Amino acid sequence: MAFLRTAAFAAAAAACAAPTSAQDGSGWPNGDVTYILHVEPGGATDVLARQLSSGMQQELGVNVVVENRPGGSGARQMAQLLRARPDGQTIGSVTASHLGMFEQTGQFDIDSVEWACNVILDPYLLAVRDDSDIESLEDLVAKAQENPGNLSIAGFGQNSGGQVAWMIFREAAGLEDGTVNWIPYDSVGDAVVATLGNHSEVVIAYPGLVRQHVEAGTLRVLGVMADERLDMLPNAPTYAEAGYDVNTNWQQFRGIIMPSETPIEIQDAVCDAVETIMQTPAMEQYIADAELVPGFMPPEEFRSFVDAQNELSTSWTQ
Amino acid sequence: MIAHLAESLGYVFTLNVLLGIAAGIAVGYVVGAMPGLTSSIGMALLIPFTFSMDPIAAIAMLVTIYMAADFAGAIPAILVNAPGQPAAAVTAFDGFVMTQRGEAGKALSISLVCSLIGAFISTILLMVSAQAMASAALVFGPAEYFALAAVGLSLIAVLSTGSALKSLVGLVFGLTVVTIGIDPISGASRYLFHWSLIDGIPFLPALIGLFAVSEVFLMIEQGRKAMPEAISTRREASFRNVWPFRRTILRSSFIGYAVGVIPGAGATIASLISYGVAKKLSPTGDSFGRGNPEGIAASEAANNAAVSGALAPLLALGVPGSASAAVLIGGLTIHGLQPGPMLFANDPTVPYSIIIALMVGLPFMVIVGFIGIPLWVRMIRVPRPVVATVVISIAMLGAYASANSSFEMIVTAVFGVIGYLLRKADIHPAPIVLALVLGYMLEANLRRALIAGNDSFFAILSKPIAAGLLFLTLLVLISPLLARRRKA
Repeated sequence: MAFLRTAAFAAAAAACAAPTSAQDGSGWPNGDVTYILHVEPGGATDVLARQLSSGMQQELGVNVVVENRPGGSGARQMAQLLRARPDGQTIGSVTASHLGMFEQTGQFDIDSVEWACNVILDPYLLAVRDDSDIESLEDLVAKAQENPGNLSIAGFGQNSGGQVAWMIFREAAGLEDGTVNWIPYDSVGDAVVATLGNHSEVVIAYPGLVRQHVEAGTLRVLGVMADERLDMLPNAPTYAEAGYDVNTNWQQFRGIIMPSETPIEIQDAVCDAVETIMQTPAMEQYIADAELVPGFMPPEEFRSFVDAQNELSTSWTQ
Repeated sequence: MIAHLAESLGYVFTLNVLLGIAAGIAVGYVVGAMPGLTSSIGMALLIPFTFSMDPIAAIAMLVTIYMAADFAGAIPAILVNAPGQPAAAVTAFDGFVMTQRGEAGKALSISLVCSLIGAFISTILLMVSAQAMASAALVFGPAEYFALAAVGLSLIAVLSTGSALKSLVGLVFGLTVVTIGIDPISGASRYLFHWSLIDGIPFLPALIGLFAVSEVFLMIEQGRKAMPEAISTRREASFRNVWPFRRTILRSSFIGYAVGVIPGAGATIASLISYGVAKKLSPTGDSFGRGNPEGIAASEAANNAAVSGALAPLLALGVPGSASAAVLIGGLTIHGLQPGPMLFANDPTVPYSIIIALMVGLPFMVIVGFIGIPLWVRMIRVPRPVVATVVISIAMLGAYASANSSFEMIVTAVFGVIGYLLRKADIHPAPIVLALVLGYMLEANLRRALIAGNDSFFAILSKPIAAGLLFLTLLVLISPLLARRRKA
């Protein structure tokens, strides 16, 4: 681990020598920005980040260099990000999966970074194959109670955001643990495919992953875990409309984090840039094409949102 | 279909698109020939450059990288036992032995021609069967994936050259390695000494270590011995040369396409299965693994065919059949095209342009290979210490580049030592690769199938495809015993 120590020393030394001028955010960006991602190139989070970075390049007139540090469910990206100076020149991507990683590794926690801003907010939804005899959330509950252990629900991973969303519904519906088998897949996309192939009766997913299948008439959405119907899926009822009142704050988020102790002024400067970019026609078009749900939140709002998410997550997974 | 094809032809034969294809071939050959840089990395790196290109040119460039990388992956595998793409590890089984015999030119030529045939046949198959095959891919659920992985692992009975016990040691070693990390089903940590192991041992760096780095150790050991005299640097890239293997090539192309269609199976599994089948069916099967050109034919036809195969579920359902196909989804999304069940209905020219771009690119990929062979063969005339230095540098660079992290370099180094020791003990890498590729698929899907079936194995056997595949597994496993009895 000698190399890690050397790197830490180098970073510490560099931090001491750093000029303290750009504390009020007016000096940002002070040169090229590095944007460290916790995912491999090519996925939804990566493409979103690359769109954002090209927008930032145009908006700010500096290079925004995207670096992929996949692995360790985000732990390796965190390690890299925390070695950087807290001056806004290094930012990172974050999704709900980081919260699960904190718990699994015990290496980092919610206070290890600054939660600068949120970009995308995807609600969860429950869907079935179009030829399923489950017509509504009520049918789903009735069928599960009738024959416990006979139904299975596909979703991403264990103790994941999707599983927590399912547990929230299960409690609201009064379903006992074990009445529906939770099948953890490697990604939400895999879970959708397994349900299309009839290997699971129900899937918990995001709007963007099912919209085309709904249009093609192969999947049907039973309920969306949101307060209002989505423009993308106007015929899909919310949980409340379907008769199940749940806390809809639990959503999949994609945002931006920064090294701990990055001044709030710099966080604000970064987030102002992000907010402007999200309102450009090109970015709006991309978000619509990629079937994402925009959900910008500035620093303080994002932090309290994440605190609430974290509380929900630990209360459900422990 | 014909109308859309004709319309797409017009889109592809424009200067922009043809330049995109040319760039794709150049980049594909470079990332393909660099161990550690896969086609998915190459494609992802170029995605930002496609922002300003027109959609068809951008996508043509990306799919060409995907195919060209698979052409090139065999080159370092054959020359220095360092697979440029994971699937080329199978090509190295025979290809590198041929190089050691001084037949590098012949091995490279056979690889090139078989890659071409595999790619051509599968692209035709993609054109006529994308939608039908994609629906067939949905039939594969946890039970079927488990059974498919079991068939793959049973190939150890066929693949092993020499001692069955030693093959078993390799297999168990590989299966143990894949259990490291967070358990995919329950989330428990297994052999997690440090958090950097949370995702387990990364496959690609381990593969580079097992093949390339262990080879470097052997080179150092034999430092003073002369390199094999290349008997011929002449290219022998002709259809006549591969004519004796026509059945194997044809069969491997179909196997490669079919395995490629199954999401998550991919080119490496396609190569391994087609290699195992060819070995079983070939009259010269006994010499597979000892420099039999038919082994190269089986591997290369299959892994190039798997590329088109992986595009079928992508274009027809929006389901990526491989990591590279997943990157392609990213590339399409940027241009406002969302691959999915509506793509053939809403933008039919996109899938057909991809198919035509692949076809247009093929001859140029062959030309690059054809011109390159004499140059590449010359590489092995370089003094051994120089080759060893270059190979280990590229291996370490590739390991680093696969995830931008020095952790991967440590994995490569450790597996280099392990690979060297295993080779000293005369344990072939084939069973280890088999286990590394299939171990996760076997475990995760068995456990998913058991959860869905309330812990009953009969739930798996009650699915016809899974039951059929498991029966096949049993047949493959007992076939060497039966053959021995017949001989006795």
